[in-house]
Amino acid sequence: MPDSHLSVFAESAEMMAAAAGDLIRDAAERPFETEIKGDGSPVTDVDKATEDCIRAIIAERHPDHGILGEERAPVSPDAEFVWIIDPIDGTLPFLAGIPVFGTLIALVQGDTPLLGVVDMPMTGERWVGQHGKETLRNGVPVRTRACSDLSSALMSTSNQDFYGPDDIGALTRMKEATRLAVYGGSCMSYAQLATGRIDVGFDVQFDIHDYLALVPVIQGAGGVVSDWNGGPLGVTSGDRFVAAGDKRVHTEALRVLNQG
Amino acid sequence: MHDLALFVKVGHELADIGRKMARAAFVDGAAFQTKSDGSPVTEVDQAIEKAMRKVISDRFPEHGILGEEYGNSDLDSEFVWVIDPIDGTKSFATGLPTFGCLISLCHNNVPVIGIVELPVAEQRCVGVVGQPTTFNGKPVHCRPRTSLSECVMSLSGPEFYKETAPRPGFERLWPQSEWNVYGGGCVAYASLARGFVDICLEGSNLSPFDFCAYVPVIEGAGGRITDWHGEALSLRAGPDTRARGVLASGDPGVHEQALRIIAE
Repeated sequence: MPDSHLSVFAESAEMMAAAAGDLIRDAAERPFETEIKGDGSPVTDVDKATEDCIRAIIAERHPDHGILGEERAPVSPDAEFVWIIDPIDGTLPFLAGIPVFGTLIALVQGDTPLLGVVDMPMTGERWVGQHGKETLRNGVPVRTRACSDLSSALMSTSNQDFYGPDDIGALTRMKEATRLAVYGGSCMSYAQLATGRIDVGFDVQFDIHDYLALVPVIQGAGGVVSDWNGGPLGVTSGDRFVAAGDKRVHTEALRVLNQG
Repeated sequence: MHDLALFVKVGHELADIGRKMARAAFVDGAAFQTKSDGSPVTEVDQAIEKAMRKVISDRFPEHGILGEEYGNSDLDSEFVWVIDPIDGTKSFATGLPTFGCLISLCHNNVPVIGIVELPVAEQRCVGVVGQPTTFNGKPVHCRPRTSLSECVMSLSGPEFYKETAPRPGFERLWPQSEWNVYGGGCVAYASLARGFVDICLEGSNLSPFDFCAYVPVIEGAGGRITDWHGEALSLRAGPDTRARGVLASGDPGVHEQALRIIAE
């Protein structure tokens, strides 16, 4: 694919992020309606309105592209290019007024994530990752930081309540194997991993809307991402995600996550 | 009580200092880097506290000051300012916006002004005894809840609750909420005052600079805030000024339910 196409897609993604951010910032100022989805997770009218706004931009600029969004039915999932969107990643922090929630936009070609955008409406930060290019934060290149071993790593995970009886051991082992832990950072903590402020992040119950946008962002900053078996992440990957700024920490983390 | 309005004004000046200096280090400073031991962060903490202390001692030389970084002076004064220049240092160091400046004024040990300043989002929650709590200048109120099962609960991180023996109420309380959020830190207390969060649980072994600011903020929004035994939080809470844990609730009835569960 010519580079120019990818640039046009990136421009579209930034338009989507900007429009989503305007909606979310406005909505965050007041209470909103919440309902419970079939899988037990909460969703707000803001999630839906934001996804609709993003979908409208895709339909207008790239009518031949497919869309897989978290809140609405799929559109042309077999198209060559498919957008994967999570209008508000971190719905719980959003409900709680904690500004670590953001909009995730990914573009895949086949099974390969080409483009990822993490937009943080409350902090005014946007990360853009493109396959084969340097990741940018507000237009400035970012890099992950070197970390030689897991015992000196700063780790992050979102919410311990998402860990079931089979997974909680992995979380406990990682807490013991690392130096410090931060919780509840949602997509923001992975963006900060790409920026060299966090060394290793992992989550369970993560679906493609949660992680595909993170893949180009982290890889383009020099980091490593995979499922918990070390496999690459595509549209058919499972629900486990692990990312590290330094390959050595990623290798060690895979071993510790799978010890049980 | 002397000139409460003047004290509030100076509280805002302190929060302005915190916002400006924390943002400079966090948002605007592209070169901001944290070593793995977090040391540059401590420098920012110290610089903010130093600047705030200077304002206080210039304006009110007779007031006492208790700060996280530089200890205490004149704690027996009628008025004591209680400052945590950056609450949530780990968040600050990792680039997460879940940190803030906590500023409080205590009168005869009782917190009468509380300010939760959130520099990244440019949000400020202000509580003044006898007045409605404000968020960015607008009055806010906690929301009513009839039971714990309707509540959004904010918890720091699992390991903070494991230091007290016997196992504290945390493990009994956390499964009873509708949802828990982790790592929200001081932001969650502002959210509680705004009616976005219903319970904040924090422990253990906390110092006055960890909680004094929350007292006027939560009470002025109609909520309740005590230690885990239901006792009032003050500058002299508990032996050697430490409290074993903080429980804040938007709904007073829910607060009673939560205290009973912790005490079981």
